[in-house]
Amino acid sequence: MDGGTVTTVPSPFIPGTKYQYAWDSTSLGWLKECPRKYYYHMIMGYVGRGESIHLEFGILYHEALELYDQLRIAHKYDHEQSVKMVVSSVLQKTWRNGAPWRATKDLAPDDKASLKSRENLVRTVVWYLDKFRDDPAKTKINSATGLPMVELHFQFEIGSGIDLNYPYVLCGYLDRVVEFQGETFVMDRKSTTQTLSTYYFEQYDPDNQMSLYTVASQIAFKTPVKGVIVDAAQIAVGFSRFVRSFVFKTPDQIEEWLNDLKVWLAQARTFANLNRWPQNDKSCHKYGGCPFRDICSKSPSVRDKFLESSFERREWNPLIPR
Amino acid sequence: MSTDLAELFDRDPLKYTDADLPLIIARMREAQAQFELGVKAPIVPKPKKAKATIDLLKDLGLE
Repeated sequence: MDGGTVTTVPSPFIPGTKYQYAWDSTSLGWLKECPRKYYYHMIMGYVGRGESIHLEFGILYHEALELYDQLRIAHKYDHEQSVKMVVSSVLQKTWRNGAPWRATKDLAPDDKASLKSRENLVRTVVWYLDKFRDDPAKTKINSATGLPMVELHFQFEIGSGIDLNYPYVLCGYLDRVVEFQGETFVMDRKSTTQTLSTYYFEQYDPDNQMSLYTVASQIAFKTPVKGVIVDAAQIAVGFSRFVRSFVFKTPDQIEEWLNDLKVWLAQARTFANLNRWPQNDKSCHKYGGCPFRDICSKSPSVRDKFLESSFERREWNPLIPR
Repeated sequence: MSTDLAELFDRDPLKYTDADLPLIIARMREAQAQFELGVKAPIVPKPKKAKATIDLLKDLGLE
């Protein structure tokens, strides 16, 4: 609600159908991994309880670093003032109904998700901001608006859609556009409990999200980039660690990705036509294990009951602004 | 986590004094400096079962 008016966010689906016209890297990624995973997440709106913790921690971490960028660049606060304001903001956002959100003492220590705690969030933010106080990757300023290029929402049409009134739309957010050693890159921030090894970074090249962000920077912001810098934070017991890695994209790689995208979107339309999203049963154990693996391993007749008891419903709408 | 820090994390941030926020930041920085010097965080023995599991076992009279 804003100023007495109610703002409704349109559905990413054509009304009354299961045809998705607005796509982001998350929903497209689900489709590519497994049509059934896409169906459970995107069409049915199921989210594993553990997944929502990682998502929420990631959002809080992103918001904190974005606030720092805004304070430093747009409001000209110094580092110390900005860190103080950011930490204050994080602590307030994670104080809910008179109690701390995910206090370490309340979490089961044998659960890896327990690393995504309030204390570790504050620690990670402070350590990151101090480490990159004089960041060699400089945030670009939008020449048209004069504003720093952080948390940039993009939404653009690509070719024709399923319906004349609903052209396909690609949308999402770029965390930050930076200049590094004379080249422009999108910077994408990640928070993980995994070790930041070569193995960790290999998952991003090739990767759907990295390709989409490179395209978005060029189309939506008229800013050609060399690729994406993955700016990863590892949250571990007793420490947080930060490593950056580059994913380069050439123009012909991007063209190939866009051509392949048309085939994927046609596939999504076929699944909706058939009202059937088949299991990709070679994908269940990849990506750290699909959250729906236990569901798909059960008899179809009992799956709905298990879904209702083990998952929560949270609609994923790429058109909702952060 | 030190006692003073644990106590601060248990309090409503809107009721912090002027000194509280700088203290939290200072403690985080001390931990970072120690980590960079290679001082490992104290090892806290892991309970064998999660708290929720222990509570459940107690409720069921199994522990």
